[in-house]
Amino acid sequence: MGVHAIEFQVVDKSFRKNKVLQGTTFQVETGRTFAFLGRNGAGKTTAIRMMLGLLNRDDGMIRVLGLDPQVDPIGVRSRVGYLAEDQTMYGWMRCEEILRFMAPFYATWDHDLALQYARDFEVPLQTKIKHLSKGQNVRLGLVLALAHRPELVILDDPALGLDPIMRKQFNRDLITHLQGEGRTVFYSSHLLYEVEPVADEVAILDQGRIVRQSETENLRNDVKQIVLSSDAAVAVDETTSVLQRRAEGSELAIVVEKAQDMIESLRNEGVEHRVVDLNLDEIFEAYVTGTNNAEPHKKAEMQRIAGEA
Amino acid sequence: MQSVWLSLLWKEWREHRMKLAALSGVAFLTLFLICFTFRNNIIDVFAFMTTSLGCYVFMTTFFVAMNVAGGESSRKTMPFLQSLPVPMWQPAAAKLLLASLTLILPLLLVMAFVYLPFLLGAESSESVRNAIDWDQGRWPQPWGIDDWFTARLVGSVLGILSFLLWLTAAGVNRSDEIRAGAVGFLTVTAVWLCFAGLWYIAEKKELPTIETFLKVAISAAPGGPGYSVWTKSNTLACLLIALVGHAGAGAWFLGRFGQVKFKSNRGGARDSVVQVDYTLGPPRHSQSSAIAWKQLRETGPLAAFALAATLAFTAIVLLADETKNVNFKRVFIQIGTGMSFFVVLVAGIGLYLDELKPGLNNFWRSRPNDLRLWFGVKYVAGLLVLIAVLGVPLFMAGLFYWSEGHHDLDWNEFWNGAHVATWVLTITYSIGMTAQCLTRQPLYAAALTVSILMIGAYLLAKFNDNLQLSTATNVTIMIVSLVVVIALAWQTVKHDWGWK
Repeated sequence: MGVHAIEFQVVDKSFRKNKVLQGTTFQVETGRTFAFLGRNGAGKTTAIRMMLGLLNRDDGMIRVLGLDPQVDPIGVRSRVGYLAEDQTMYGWMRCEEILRFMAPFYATWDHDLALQYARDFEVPLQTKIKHLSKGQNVRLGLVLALAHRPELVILDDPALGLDPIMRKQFNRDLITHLQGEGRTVFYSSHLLYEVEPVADEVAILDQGRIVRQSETENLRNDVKQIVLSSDAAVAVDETTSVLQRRAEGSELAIVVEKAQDMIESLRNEGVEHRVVDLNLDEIFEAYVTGTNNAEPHKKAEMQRIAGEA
Repeated sequence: MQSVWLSLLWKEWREHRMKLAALSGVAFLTLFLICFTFRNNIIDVFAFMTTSLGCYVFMTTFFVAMNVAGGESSRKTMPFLQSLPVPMWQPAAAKLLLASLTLILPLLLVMAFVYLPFLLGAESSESVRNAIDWDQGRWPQPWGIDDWFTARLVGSVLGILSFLLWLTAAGVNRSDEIRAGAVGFLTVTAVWLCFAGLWYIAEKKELPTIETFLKVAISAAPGGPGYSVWTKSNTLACLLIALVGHAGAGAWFLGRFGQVKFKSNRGGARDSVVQVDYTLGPPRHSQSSAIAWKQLRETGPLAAFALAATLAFTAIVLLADETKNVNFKRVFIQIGTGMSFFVVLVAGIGLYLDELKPGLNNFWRSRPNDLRLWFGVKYVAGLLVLIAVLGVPLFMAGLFYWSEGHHDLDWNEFWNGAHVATWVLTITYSIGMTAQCLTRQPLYAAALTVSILMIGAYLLAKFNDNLQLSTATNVTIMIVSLVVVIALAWQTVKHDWGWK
């Protein structure tokens, strides 16, 4: 277990009566690429703003690079590179001007590196920011986020609004580049297929709670869809965590956690079944749509579906 | 079709109703303060009501007009409005209509309130009659309308409609409210200065035909109807010219509103353009110099305009002084003072106008900047620019005036005036900044600033009357009030408080 670059312990945050984060707990190990997944409005941006000390938590503990962002926000921001969702910058400045303007705010700013990134990302330095295209805006934001060699890079849905080809390039080239440099990358997104190839670890946030945190590969191995006859559904162990179920003719498709245990159990009982591998998108869907029902209801619902079939 | 109009008017009503409430509040507060302060001198009550009407007409119309002209673009809602299946002149007309109501209704309410005692026979009082006569002598009744209330309402409503049409026509389709306001203000000032220049030449060269022509032509200028209704001659010609000029301004606004193509920045259409110029100047020397540079760049356009206007007005006043045209000099000193106040107010509000918008607010706050430094350098840089563009030219003008042989200039009085003017400038700028941080809406910030200034001035005058405060106490009160205002702004910026 490495040192934690980010640590959230039972963090609560409400905006008046709206509970945005409820007991949110997760850790990001140093040097890893961490995908923070959730639907729109799940609380991802709120969590990120709390990491930067832009919002105060109601309860719990947050550490970023060992610092409490509520106590030392400038210390945190000096060591973090942050690219906001749809980042707005001073439209009247030229790209060159904003790089020169931001430089004195970072003790570790490397002006040559900023120029190199600007060249690599093809940022038009003499163009005013308000005239940049969406892609150029994101790339300029990245130069600003990376030129001070941050230990941790926080990307809040950075590819939002980019066309599919640019999104692929962004993920493939940039994240791989950052991984190559050994940086910790915290990548918030709701586009799962984008983060799947690059993320070492995944956390799924739903309604302010982390419903699952796992290594990407482990998650794929752990969560699977099992298709079995409706009559056999009653054989599903009550302790099995069923995330999603769907009747398909005389068959029932269920998405379960700890799939290996269940497969073992079904084999032992001689129940016929098929196992379907899921991609991250399908796993995410199972978590965020399936958790809307309480567990006992799931079981009852499954038995009802089995009866109807 | 009817439902389209209803929908558009409903939307505009929802957007204007709080402005209506704020303006009504300011109007009644002004009335209350005037009546209470001058309750023993009814002449002053009427005099200040007329002066306040003049201020209301220009200032509030400016803020409402800049919202009408640039509000949709500023909020990035113009593309949505353009996508609606209605011709763009319809939303534009709905905006103009509701903006006019927002500006005129508070006046009607206040005037109705003032009129109540007259229904009960207050007009029969000799002192009231004398006060009205005195005020009517100062500012003649438009078209010879005898009733003071009707006359003032007609003048004010015409002024409001005139400024609204001109300011919205000049600022239409600008990318944000400040640009719309700046272009509108610049246009209005340029038109006035043109008329002033022509008038000066006509008077000096004794060209009565040109003078008569200008007296008629000014009806078409911003606020012109407010002037022309007072002239007793050429009424019909003035009216026609006013109608033609303002119908043109209105048609320009209705025809141009929303007729702008928004650049699609998606998809990186420009990405294919190879930029070969990859040179990067050295970083800014320090955080302070970076923030000061940014502030100077942001205040630059307003400062340049203020400097040009100050120089132009100073020159006009000096020329008027040379030709012994006392009225001309008085009017331009009043306009110049009003404009200076206005520039200071806009500079104060503008200090955090963009930076507290959600996107930019998140950007600069998420960087490792020292908030105290950010706040302090911005404040001081903006203030120094204002003093430089407003104070220095006036000081130079004083020196010039004195060097030209006007040794009757009382330097003591000059310096006292300079001190008070600097304080008024600083407190107005500071309250404007604080009000913007709290309300995050320029119109509300302006209304709040004016209210605070009026209440403050009233309380200071009251304390001085009742307690006979010493100069030292007055200075202490001024300094403490300034510190309190700045401290409140600092806390608001620090904690990101304010109306969101």
